Amino acid sequence: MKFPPWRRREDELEEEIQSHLRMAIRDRMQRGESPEEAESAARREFGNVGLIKETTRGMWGFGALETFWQDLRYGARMLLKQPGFTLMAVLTLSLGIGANTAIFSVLNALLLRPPLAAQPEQMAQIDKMEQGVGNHTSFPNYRDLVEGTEAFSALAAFDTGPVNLGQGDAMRRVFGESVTGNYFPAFGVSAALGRTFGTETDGALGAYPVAVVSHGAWRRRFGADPGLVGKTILLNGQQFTVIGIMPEGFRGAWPLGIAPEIWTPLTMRQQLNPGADLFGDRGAHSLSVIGRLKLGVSQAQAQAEVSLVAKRLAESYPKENRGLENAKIYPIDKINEIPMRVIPVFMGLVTVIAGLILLLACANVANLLLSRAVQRRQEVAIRLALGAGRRRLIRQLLTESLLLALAGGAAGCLLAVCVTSLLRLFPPPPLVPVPMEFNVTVDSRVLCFTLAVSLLSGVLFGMAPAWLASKLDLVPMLKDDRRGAGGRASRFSLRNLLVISQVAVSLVFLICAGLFTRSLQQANSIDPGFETERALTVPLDLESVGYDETRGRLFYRQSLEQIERMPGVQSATLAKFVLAKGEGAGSSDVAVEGYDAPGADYPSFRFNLVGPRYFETMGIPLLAGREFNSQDSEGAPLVVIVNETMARRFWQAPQSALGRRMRLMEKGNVLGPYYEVVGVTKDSKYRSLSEEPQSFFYVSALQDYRQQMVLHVRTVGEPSLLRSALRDRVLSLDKGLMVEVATMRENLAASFLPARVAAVVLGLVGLFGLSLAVVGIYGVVSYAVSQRTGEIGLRMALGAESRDILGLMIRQGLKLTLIGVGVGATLALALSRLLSRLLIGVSAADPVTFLAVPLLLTAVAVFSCWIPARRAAKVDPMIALRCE
Amino acid sequence: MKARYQNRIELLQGTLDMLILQTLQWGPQHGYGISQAIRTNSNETLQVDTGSLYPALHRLERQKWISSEWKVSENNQRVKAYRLTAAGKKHLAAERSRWERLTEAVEGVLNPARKESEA
Repeated sequence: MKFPPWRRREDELEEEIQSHLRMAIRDRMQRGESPEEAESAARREFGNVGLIKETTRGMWGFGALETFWQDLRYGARMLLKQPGFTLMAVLTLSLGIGANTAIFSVLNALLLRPPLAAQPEQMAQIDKMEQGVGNHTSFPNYRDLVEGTEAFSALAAFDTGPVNLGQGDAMRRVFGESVTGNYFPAFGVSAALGRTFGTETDGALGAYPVAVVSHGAWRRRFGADPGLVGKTILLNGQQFTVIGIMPEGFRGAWPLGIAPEIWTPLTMRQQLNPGADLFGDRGAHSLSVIGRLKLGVSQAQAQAEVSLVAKRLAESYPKENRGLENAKIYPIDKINEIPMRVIPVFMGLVTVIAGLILLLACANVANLLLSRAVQRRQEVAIRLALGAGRRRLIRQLLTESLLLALAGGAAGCLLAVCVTSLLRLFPPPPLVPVPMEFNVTVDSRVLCFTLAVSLLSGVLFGMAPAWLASKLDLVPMLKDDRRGAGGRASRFSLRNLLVISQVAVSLVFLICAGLFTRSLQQANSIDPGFETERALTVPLDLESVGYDETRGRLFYRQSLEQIERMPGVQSATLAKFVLAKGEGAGSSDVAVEGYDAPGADYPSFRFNLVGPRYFETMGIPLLAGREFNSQDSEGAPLVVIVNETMARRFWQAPQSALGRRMRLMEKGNVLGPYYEVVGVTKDSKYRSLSEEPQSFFYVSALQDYRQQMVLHVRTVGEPSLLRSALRDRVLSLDKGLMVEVATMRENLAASFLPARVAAVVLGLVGLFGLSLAVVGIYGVVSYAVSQRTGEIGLRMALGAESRDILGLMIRQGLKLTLIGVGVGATLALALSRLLSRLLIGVSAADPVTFLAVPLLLTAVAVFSCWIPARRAAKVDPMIALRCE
Repeated sequence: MKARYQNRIELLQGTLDMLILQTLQWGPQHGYGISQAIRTNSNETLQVDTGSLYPALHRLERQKWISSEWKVSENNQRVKAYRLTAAGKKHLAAERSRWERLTEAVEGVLNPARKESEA
């Protein structure tokens, strides 16, 4: 079939007419006319072939479509005739549309793709929804849930956590899941290679040392070894046989692209992490539950059953199952609620930025179109004079805009493909310590989105110029009066408004980028209140090597002793978390003796668990009392060290805090035993460098054993020189441990990451906006110059210096810039307040940024006025006046 | 030649439609054949302008009153022949009765006396 569809009918009409003519000629010749006579007579009789065709075509009813086709071809011709303009517009649009497509494809991959499962709509996850923490329950609860419900054909439980894979130097920490035997059957997904395990593993504990590996982990961790199935691997030092590799995209029930890497039977949990009584302790809420609904059972029915069991469990075990009665189930194929609570702030910000980029791009293309509309006034006027309807004309111009938008969309799509494949090649450092696998591809949903965005922007930037272009005053135009219609635009014409808004928006971005840059500068000069130059940290996870408390305590003591004996080490200690790394610190409600909180509403403070010599190692000065020592251990009186702010809050002076007592809130809302204050330290930064001074206290780590602690080492010289020696020393104590040594500087850098990323992204967007604004200002001024050539000539003939003309033209662009700067600065002031939490050591109204950035922008704007203004100043008055 | 030309009468659009449908009642015919048939049957009085004929044919086809197909004529030529459809037949009947009423009325206006005498 030919394209367009009316082409075939066109050909047929031609043939029909030709056959008509042939028959007429033949008849005439049979009547005795000569061939030449017959032919010319027949043609004369037939009439105007072109006109007849045209009228006949009108009967086909392709009218609207054909008009569109004509517009399209005409539009394409017009765009090709001005390649510079077209390239500029398409490029601008491709940036705007490309940015949006890239962001949408990430969103699409993260949020909109359901987990890989057979009939995912039949699956539901059970969520306790307690303070948004997640969906945990205990094994005994899970058992009761399985027995108490009939809505599910399979109800599986899984426990997620880090596992050490391999040993020695090759050891890697992977994200593993211990799952019940019906986990894989519930998803209905079988292994891509080998097999998965089933309910046979639910029997005896420790009987099935088998593992299933994710596709991503198979590629990343095992070099895509085709013979992996059947091999033995080490998980937390235990031998497991790999029995299968899952297909690509299988991520269990995790949203947001979070991807478990290895699955082992839940009955092997104790082998991986000895210690915790997973199967007996009803209060050990570490399992997530997911189920497949029986055919024909609705989510509401399942919810009713689950609620009934959950309520019963909450009533029977109020202490262990607080809040369980609110258990909710939700389908896993929908955008589920948990990620929606976490990411809207971040994604919202990104989306707003992407939208603004698109608006900027549209504004600029609209501006380009407006200047072009001026050049095309003559053409438009002729078409109007020849009888083209105004609607027809707007349609023609809009078709051109749509063509531009589609070209921009196609280019933007390419750009997005490039960006997303770059993302695949150089994945950004993960923001969470779990592997993320999301296949950011441009699929049909992304293409639809891009098409919609392109069409929308086409109408957005095309409507106003088309409207204005068709609103011509014909008579002066046809008389070729250059100062005629549209020549004297009002002071606040659309063009000027566009330029002003571009300046304003790019100023907002540049100021925000400037604030982040300044805060990064400041961050280096902030005193965190502890030693940052000569310190190393090593996170230890004794759970992964299966230590119990006795062995763990021994390990901590021995390692500290050995490390302190190492040359180059000044002191070593343990702490629960590293200060100012942005890690979640523990916090507790505190009841200070002698301070009765109204209604037992105790204030909550953050705290850290630290070992002996901690303050010496960290270089945090003591203001009063002593620091923890090896005597502050189990059985000894409980001791606490508070910081200066806390001491002043409750006891006025550091000295008077010594000997005072306080109690901490323990599980189940009961106050624990008394702790005595034995020392007061200077304040430091605890969670981030940007925080305000806050109350904080330290508890002796020897009095509260934890499986995960961070080794802190103070070095004599450059810390990084000790890196490998320290690593070897820890490994010599247990080669099953995962050892990652970091300097304190590196830890702090992690807390700068958001500010650094923000500075770069906002800066890039701001520069993009600025370059568009510069083009816009340039356009406005050069348009004005071309409009006022005659006037300029007159002025010069009357004695104006070229300097005056230069000033005159620059003033015009400057005025727009200054209005834009004013609006932008006001907006930025309002917006930067929202960012103040992310800014370190810089006020949201930082005078340096708020002066420097607008000045810089104005300077750039003046330069972009200067180029066309110089052209005006060089005008030869004689030539200019003759032109008139 | 000139005299003959002056004898011809311009056809109104509705009338042309009816004449085309009427001509096709005798069997499928191509555009040239239709114009010739109308001319002959009107004793050379009615001259069908091709500029009206072809738009009319294509319009009638779109209204489904006639249908078309490509055929090979007796002179071994590919021609597009039009055929009356069932809907076209119905339409023709309606048009004919309308036309008869119209001519009757016009006749009555042109010759009132005769009409009176008949009454």
